[in-house]
Amino acid sequence: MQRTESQWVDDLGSEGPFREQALTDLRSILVAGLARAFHESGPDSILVQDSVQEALVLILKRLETFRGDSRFTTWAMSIATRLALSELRRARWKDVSLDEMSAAGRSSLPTSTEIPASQGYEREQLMAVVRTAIADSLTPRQRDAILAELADVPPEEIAIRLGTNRNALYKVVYDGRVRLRQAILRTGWSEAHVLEVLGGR
Amino acid sequence: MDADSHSDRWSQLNRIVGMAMSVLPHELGCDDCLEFFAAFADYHLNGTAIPESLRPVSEHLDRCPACLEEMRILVQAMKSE
Repeated sequence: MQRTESQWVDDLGSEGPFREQALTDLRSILVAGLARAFHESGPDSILVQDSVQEALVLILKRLETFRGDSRFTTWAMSIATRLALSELRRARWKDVSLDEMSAAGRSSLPTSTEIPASQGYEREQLMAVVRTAIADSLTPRQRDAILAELADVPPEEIAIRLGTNRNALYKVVYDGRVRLRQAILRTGWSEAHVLEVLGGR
Repeated sequence: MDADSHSDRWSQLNRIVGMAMSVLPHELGCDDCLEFFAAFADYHLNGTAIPESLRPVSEHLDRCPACLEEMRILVQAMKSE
């Protein structure tokens, strides 16, 4: 059954058979979408089924926040895909500590001994400036968050380790990025020069 | 160290310096960005130009690999809907 965006909201917000039918229809759309997006997970997989169940609860709870600037089903799917991805990421990172995440980010950066002569002295200098800025200009929280992000740890996992949420983590990282930028520029590097050196790889 | 991992490590320098130098005065956080995910995805799926009002979402996706992955998954999930 095709519904307009407002029909979705009305039906899901109602009582009785309209609501039940809308829930059934939405569930099958979400299951098909998640199964399509997560190739290795069929529609019957625990990941898909659990994520859709959790998503439906959240969708009903947030129904009034749907602004109508997208298709209703896209909005609902955005909630389901985030839940499914969070679950996958949680499973992947569950045994990794914040220290390990941070160390992985630090070791992913090149050291000066790895810089071939052909890459130039300036790049080596820039690397040293960045390492000093990470060590001296960031708070421990900013340092852990930025290095973990550099190790491709998903933000929700970093947030859990830091006892915060994803939006607050973004602010921690943002403030750290501002400090790094200021620290680099304070050493006499201009923005144009930095970009020139990095672009010259 | 092989050429690939060497190249990866160099790209990490570009990445962290890029994170620092691309700071904008007003940026969307991940949760703020999520509010506009569906609208952004619909423009993408319809093949229509992303409006100026959603530029902060584009900028966020440029610097947040986690949200970019989520956007790709969402678009994939909605492709045949």
